[in-house]
Amino acid sequence: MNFFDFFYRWKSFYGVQLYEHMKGYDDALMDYNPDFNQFPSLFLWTIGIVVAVFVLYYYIINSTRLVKWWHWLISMAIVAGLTYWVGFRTVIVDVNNGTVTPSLQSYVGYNSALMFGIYNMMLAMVFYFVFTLLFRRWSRNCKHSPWELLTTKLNNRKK
Amino acid sequence: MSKLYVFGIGGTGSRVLKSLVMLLASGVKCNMDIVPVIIDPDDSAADMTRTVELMKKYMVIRSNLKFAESNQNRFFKTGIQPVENMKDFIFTLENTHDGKFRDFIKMDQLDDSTKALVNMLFSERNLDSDMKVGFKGNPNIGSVVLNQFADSQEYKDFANGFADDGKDRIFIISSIFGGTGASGFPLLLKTIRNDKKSQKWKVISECKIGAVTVLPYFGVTQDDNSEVDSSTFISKTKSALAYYDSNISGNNSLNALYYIGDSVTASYSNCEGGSGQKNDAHFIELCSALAVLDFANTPEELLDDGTKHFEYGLKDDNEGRELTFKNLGEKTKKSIMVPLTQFVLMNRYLNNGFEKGGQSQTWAKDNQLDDSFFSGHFFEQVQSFHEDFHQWLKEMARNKRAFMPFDADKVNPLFEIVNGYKPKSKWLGKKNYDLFDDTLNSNWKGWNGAASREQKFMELFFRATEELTNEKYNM
Repeated sequence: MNFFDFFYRWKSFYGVQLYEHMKGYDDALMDYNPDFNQFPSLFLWTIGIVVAVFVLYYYIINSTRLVKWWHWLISMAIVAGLTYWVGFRTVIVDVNNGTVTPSLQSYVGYNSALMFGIYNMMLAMVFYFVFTLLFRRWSRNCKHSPWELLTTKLNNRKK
Repeated sequence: MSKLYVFGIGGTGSRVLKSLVMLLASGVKCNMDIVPVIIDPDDSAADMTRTVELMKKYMVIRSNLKFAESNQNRFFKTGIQPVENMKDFIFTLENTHDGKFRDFIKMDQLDDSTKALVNMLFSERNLDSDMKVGFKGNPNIGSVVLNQFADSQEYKDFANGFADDGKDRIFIISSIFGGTGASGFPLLLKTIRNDKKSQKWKVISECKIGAVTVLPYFGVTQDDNSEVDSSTFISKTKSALAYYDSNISGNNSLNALYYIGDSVTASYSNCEGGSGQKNDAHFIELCSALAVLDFANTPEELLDDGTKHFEYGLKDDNEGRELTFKNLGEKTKKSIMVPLTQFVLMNRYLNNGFEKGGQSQTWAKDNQLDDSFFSGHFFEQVQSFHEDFHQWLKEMARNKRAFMPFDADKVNPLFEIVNGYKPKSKWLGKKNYDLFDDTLNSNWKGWNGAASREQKFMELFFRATEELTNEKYNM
C-alpha cells in the first residue's frame, strides 16, 4: 500500500471493487497497473482544494466580518461540495466511458460513485479540520474562527 | 506633575471647560494636570451640570488607565482632579440660592446715606433680582456677591493644595459681557494676588496666572421680561476692557491675557439661567480652551516680564461661513487635528462599527475583552463620554459660526469624515470598518500583555487610530 492509497483504505465504505479499479486493476495483467492508479491524482486534487479554501478563508480573504463559527462552517461546506464532486466525477466518468476492467464492471456503478464522493468529501473535511487546528493561529483576523484558540483561552485564564 | 488650576467663571467658563475636557480626552498635549474649579451661582445651569458630568466621566475613565513610558496611548492622558474636598468641581457661593440681592446686602439694615449710595449704584430691578440663577448679566451685582471668595472654605482648600515649589499655575476663564464672569474675574485675581491670610500666600501671589476673557460671541433674543439684554453686551465689554486696562494689564497682575472674540455672532434663546441655560458648544469656546493649553505649555521663562497679550486669528475667515481644519492656522492644526481625528475615528467605530461584531474580533478575544468588559462600568463610561463628544461636535457644527471639521454623522464611507481631506484609498484591500478592525487586530510591537483590560482597550484604539490617521490622511 503506497502513501496515497492509505487515505482510501476503508474500502468497505464505498466498495472493494471500486478500490481495486481506482488502484488500477487490469484484467489483462491480472494485477495492478501503476499507470492507471488514480489515487495519487485524486488525493492531490482533494488536498489542493482543502489548502486552497483554507488559505483563501484564513489568509487571503481574512475578513474581519467572516469570523463567526458558521462562516467557517460555510467554508468547510465549500470544501465538502468541491471534493465530493471531484470524487464522484472521477468514478462516474470511468463508468460512463466503460474504462472499468470487465471483471469489476458489474460492481462499479452510480451508487459506488456516490459513496466514493461522500468518502472523498469526509476525507477532505477531516483534513480541513486538522488544518484549522494547526495553521489558523497566524491569521490576523480569523484565527479565533470557528472557536477561540486554546492558547489564547489559557493565557486569558491565567490573568 | 505640576497643576494648572483652571477657574471657569459663569456659563462661558463651564462651556470652555467642556471644550478643554474634549481636547484632553482626544490627547491634545498638555504639560500640566488640570484642576478645574467652576464658579457659578447658578448651580442648576445646564451648561455647568453637563460639564461637571463630563469631567466625572473623564476621571472615571482615566482612573483605569496608566501612562507609563511604554504606553503610547494619549487619550485621556492629562490628569483632571478636583480641589480636595470640593464637591463636583464647584466653588460654592454662600447666600445666593434663595434670596434677592436686596437681602444679600441686608438693605434694611443700612443707614440712610449708605442706602442712597446703593440706590445710585443699583436699580430697583437689580435689588429685587433673585440670585439663584446667577447675576443675569449684571456685573455690578456680581462684584458685590463674589467678594466672599477669600473667606470661603473652597478657597482655603485650593490654597492648601497649591504646591510649595511655585510650579503650579492658575488660569481664569470668563466672559467679559455677562454678569458672573465679568465681575468674578477681576475679583478672583485680586484675591489670589492679595489674600495674605492664606499660609501659601507668597507662593500663590507669585505664581504664573493666565486668563482668557471672551468677548461677545453670541446674542440673545429680545425678551422684555428678561434681565439679559444682548444690546448691552458691547457697552459692558467696553467698560470692562477699560477697567481691565488699568486694573489687570496695567498693574501686571497677570502673566498672560488671551482675548477671544468674533464678529459673527450666534443668537440664543433668552434664558436668565437654570436648567434652560443650555447653549450649544461654540468654536470660540474651543479657541478659549486652546488658550488654556497654550498657557499650560508655555515655558516658565517666557511668562516673565509683565503681562503678555494674545489674540486668536484664523488663517482664512471663509467669509464668515463654516470653518474646517483648512481655515485654522498651522499651529492650531498641528496641535488638534490629528488627536481629534483619532478620537472621532474611535467615536465612529464605537457608534457604528462595534455593533457589527466588534466583540467577535481578534483584538477583543486576544485581550479578554468579553461580555463582562463590554457590559462593565468602564466601557459604559467610555461610550457615554463618546456620546457627549459626538454631541459636542454636532453642536459646534450647527452653531454660528459653524465649526465642522468632521461630518459627525457620517457612517459610511468611514474615512470620508474629515471635511476637506480626501482619504487615500486603495483599489484592493480592506475598507471602512473592516480596515479599522484589521488594524486593531495588528500584532502590535511592545504590547504589554499583562496590562489591565481597560488599559489594553484604550491602547489598542489609540494605536489603531494613529496608524489609520497616518495611512489615510496627509495631516
